[in-house]
Amino acid sequence: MKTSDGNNTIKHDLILLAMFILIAAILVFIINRTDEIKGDYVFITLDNSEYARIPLNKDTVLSIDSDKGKNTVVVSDKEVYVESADCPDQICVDHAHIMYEGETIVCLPHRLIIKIVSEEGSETDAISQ
Amino acid sequence: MQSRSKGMLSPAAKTALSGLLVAIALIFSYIETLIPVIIPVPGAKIGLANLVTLTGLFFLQPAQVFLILIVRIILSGFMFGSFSTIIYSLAGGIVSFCFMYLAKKTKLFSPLGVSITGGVFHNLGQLGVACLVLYSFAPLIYLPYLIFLGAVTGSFIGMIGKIIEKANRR
Repeated sequence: MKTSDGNNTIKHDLILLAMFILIAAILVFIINRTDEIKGDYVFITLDNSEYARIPLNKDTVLSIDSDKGKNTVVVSDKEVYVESADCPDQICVDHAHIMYEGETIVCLPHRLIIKIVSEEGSETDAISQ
Repeated sequence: MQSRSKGMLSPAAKTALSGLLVAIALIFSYIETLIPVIIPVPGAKIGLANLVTLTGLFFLQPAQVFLILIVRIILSGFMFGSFSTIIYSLAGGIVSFCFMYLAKKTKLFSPLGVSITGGVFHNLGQLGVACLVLYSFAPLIYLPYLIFLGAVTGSFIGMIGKIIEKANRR
């Protein structure tokens, strides 16, 4: 029981907390930095394979049915969002509209990835840009 | 539970205590299913059941705590979740257990710091599985939020853990 009480451990705890929050803040900054380029297409992947590739300037309502569930994806005014989904968490529906290259909406329970891409490079991952 | 030190328990008492702790952890898991997730980030939860792992690390042998953790995850997965819940929880639980154990071993941190480590690495473990399941790096866009939320929920659990540790040490 040498060090488990006392003020030193509390100091270390707080340094650790501050460190994690700092790392999170830096990562937010890095991820949001590339958000300025408007994308051209929305690239939809279902269960690890390509499902659709729709130009952003064409307003579309797309109903995606799979054995895991249903999502309704809307392309409107060069923005993309998930209008409705029958997954329990509704995270994809609550997600903000996406329009910039690299922005992504993920519906984990349905294994659906919706991603904005530019003219070339539909194959690049969010990380490798 | 007044005057108990490491390794002083008979095998029977040890088994009974393990069962008791699994039961408590299961109740925590159940309570957590009743709390709606307000924040739209996958995997965000308070981690009440981690309170058992956390305090266990300070009073019991790591192997026993690990066993309690695995049994709790599998049972709660069958009762309140699904197969995929078990996979995600196992990944999060095992990764967070390893890092909490290491954090405790350094003797630098109180239960608060150990719990913060656990919260963050639980979310990182789950995110890792999400990347594997989707075979994509796309889920990593949630990385900063999950680190932040893990630190916050870990602090919350850690403060309670600190009180328990203090009370139990007397």
